[in-house]
Amino acid sequence: MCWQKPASLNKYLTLAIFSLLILPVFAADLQSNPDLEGVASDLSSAASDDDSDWDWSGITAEDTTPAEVDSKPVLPTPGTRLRDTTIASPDYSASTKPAMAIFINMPTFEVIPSQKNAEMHPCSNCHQWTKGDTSPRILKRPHDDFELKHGLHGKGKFWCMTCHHLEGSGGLVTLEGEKIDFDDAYLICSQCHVNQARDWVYGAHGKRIGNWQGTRQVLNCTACHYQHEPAHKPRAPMEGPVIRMGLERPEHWKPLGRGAGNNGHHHQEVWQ
Amino acid sequence: MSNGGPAKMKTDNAKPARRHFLKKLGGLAAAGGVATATHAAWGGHTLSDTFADFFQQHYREMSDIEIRETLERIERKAKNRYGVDIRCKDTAAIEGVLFGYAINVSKCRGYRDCVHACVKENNLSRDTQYIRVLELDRDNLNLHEGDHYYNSDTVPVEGKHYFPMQCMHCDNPPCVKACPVEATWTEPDGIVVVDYDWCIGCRYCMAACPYQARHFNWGYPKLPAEEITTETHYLGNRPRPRGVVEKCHFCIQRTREGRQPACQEACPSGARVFGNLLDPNSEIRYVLENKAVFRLKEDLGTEPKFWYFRDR
Amino acid sequence: MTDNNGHTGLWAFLRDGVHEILHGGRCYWMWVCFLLVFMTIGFLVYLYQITNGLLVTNMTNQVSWGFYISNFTFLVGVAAAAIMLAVPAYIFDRKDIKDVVLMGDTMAVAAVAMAILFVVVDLGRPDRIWHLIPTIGKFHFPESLLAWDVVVLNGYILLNLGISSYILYQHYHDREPKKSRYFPIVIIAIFWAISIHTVTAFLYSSNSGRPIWNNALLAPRFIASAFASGPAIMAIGLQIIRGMTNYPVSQSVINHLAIVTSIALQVTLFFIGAEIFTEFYNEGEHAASARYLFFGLHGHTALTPWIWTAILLLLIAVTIFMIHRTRNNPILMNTAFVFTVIGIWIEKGMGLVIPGFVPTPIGEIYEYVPSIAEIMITLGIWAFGLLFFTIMAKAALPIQCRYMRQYSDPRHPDACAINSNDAKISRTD
Repeated sequence: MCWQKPASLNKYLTLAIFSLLILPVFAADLQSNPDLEGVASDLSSAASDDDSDWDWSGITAEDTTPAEVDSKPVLPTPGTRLRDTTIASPDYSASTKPAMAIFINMPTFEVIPSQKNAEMHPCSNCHQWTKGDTSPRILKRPHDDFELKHGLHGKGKFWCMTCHHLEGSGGLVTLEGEKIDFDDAYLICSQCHVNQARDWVYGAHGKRIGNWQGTRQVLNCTACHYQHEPAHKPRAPMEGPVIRMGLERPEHWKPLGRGAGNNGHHHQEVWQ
Repeated sequence: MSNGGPAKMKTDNAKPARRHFLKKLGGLAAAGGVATATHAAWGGHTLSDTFADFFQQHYREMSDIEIRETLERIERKAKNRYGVDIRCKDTAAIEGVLFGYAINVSKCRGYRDCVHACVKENNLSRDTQYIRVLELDRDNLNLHEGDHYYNSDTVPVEGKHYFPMQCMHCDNPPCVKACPVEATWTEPDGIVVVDYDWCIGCRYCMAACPYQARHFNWGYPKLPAEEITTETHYLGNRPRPRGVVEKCHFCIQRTREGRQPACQEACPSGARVFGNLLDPNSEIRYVLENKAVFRLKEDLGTEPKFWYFRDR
Repeated sequence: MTDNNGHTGLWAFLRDGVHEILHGGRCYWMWVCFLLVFMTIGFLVYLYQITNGLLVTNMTNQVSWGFYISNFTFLVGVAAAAIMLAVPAYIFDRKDIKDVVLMGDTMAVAAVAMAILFVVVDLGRPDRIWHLIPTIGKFHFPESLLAWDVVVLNGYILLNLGISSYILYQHYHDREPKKSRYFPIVIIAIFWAISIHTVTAFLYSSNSGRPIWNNALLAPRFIASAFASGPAIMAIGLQIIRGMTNYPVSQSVINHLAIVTSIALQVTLFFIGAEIFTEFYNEGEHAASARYLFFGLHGHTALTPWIWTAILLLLIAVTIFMIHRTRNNPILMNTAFVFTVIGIWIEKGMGLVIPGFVPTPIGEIYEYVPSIAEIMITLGIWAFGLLFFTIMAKAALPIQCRYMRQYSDPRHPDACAINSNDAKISRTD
């Protein structure tokens, strides 16, 4: 009945102690390690880690302050598709222009200029030779793709010369006859689309590029709205959510949504 | 450091009686080691890194030197695991900044460009997405009727509107209260962050979040090495370990450097407005003051810093 | 088993206990080996889970708590119910219950140990458990309900271990335990038992984003179902002890437990009824989780047969308990106990935790069923708990027996023989 010390106790104790010693090794990354020779120095440096050995020269104030905001915009994530055609899409490499006043007490900001198609700009490339016939009609090449589908006001309500002029190198013209640069297209749009223009000026419409503080750089209207057919065309969405790794989709799964049963919606079943 | 190391060194000097025993032990350890080799469980590169990892303190308790060493360790681990040189910083919050975000529901067309930009920018495991876009019938705000998996040929679908949802960075966050080890907290600039090296993976915060905004690394993150974003932040998009919770962090590696979050940059519709709520001239303030903004689940009192608004 | 040969002191106490554990009859060893097999399998599968991560379970971001936390919730309730023996034993000085109250404490310790193990296997990073320790880690007390749970569960284990060790130690030396020493601890433990299950309930009811949990009735429901399931398990356990050994478990104890279970069951069923009414009378979107549980949601009905079976089992059990004739019939009574345990395990376990996640707060449905790995680990932990209880009982019962022999009927000196080979003398009351 008394406690009898097993003869093999020593062996078990040794095994237990050795197991504890090698336990940390299970935690180590066991892939092939080019730094193996550095192990000893790492261990010794870790052992002698006290402040007096630390090299303070590496730590400067710059490490903790945020980077200064560049005057040039930081390009947005590659692959951002603003719209289908590239006509008048933004030219991020060009320097921005300060926005012209279209309201009183407008905040100051910069507008990113548009790309210019080398063939078609400036208009005087061709129009210095041709006569500008300013009667409203459907145009022929090379303007045949500019069929004006500008919303409710197209189809003869206004046409090309409402916004364009051919004097000098050609360009845009406001309703009051003021000739402006293509980069200032917002001056044209804001004539009619006042609410959107106001929202654009103050930031609720359109897109600020690159930074959220400092010099504000925004896209021109034409960066997102193709000026001759401004209605956005639907496009395919990117891929939806996926279930986590390690699980398989069951046989019966159907996507929810139109044509799927369940009256088309209400409580989405989770699978990819 | 391989498992065979200690055992091998010892057998040279050990007595013959013990050699056999230790060889068996080494074999046993190696067998266990092989099993774990391909699943390097807790990361780590050298033995010292492993120990340092294990004993690493909470981010808010670490001294500057410890933080610096931690950042270097993270960079080493990423190099070892992915073969990529990353830079891990712990940029502090900018003074006088409180981040806010607004989505224009009239403009969101459900493209999901934001979702995938976020996945790329934040080094997400490819089975995790911080942003979830819900497709709802127009003027229906019942989130339970949202379609998460819409995959029509084109979007936007007639008569539907789209709600991107991500972490709302609440001012009164239930997740911060829930965490038993304070692994998640609100930074001074309003971002609710997670210390991935402190999280114990209990997932109570996931139960507490009313917006389903928090995600767990059930396995080792599936992160293709060639797509890794190398500018990282300790509380943000640094490569995460297994078994911890993560979520949207307003692209802390970008926003603390003055840049826009990846989702805002990616949106082709200009539906996303991000900025400093404390700056009276910011766009986000204009939106909040002039638009009919609302927040989701307002009645829960979580005070999200993520608003939605319409043009009409 | 004879007296302790005049051994005294802590070392002798522990040594004799270990000796008692290592020496048993055939049934004992078969049972222990059976449990060890499951424990080993569970441990190996847990190693598999550690190596591969929690993706070996069927939990997802949508249903982020599953089988482990279900069992944890159930077991905390079982632990809390030890006070159903402690109160009559120590407050009302019922002699028959005092004989078995240590078994109740042991069961409580085993249940809390199991509960803690379930939380540990559920963690994504168990190597970071030390983060919970105050000062060297960061313990988010008192804001976090999980921190509260850690405090109350560990405190409860310590209280119960303290009480039972002290009393057992005194009994080992044939001394009467000093009431002034243990009685205050017992009082604390009684209130603490209510708190462990209340805190666990608050863990759920504090989540305002999950309407099925976010109600004030959850804590009372937990206590009520705990006081039904815990005594039921105790009653079954005590009857097994009575059958396998000669330890005097009088029928009055079992009757007492049956009455406690009966009342608790009635209250539980009333609460379930109140829950069903409140959810469905004016049904809105907040009742989606309840609808998933009771009636299925959009054709997803994985849990409905389970919950209704559970309710049926509970109804049968409560009926058996409420009728005198059926309650006093041992077969029916034990059936009722078993039904109670199973029913509440379903209703409080999977029937509570999973619906909280289905649908998610933003409307997704993921039907969770435990994976094989989870089931194996769960069985391993249950085997551990049963083994723990068996071992503790094996060590404690001889001491109790010997101590009680002084007060037992002097005509039956062998009334406490533990070894099943000894003469069996039935002891009725």
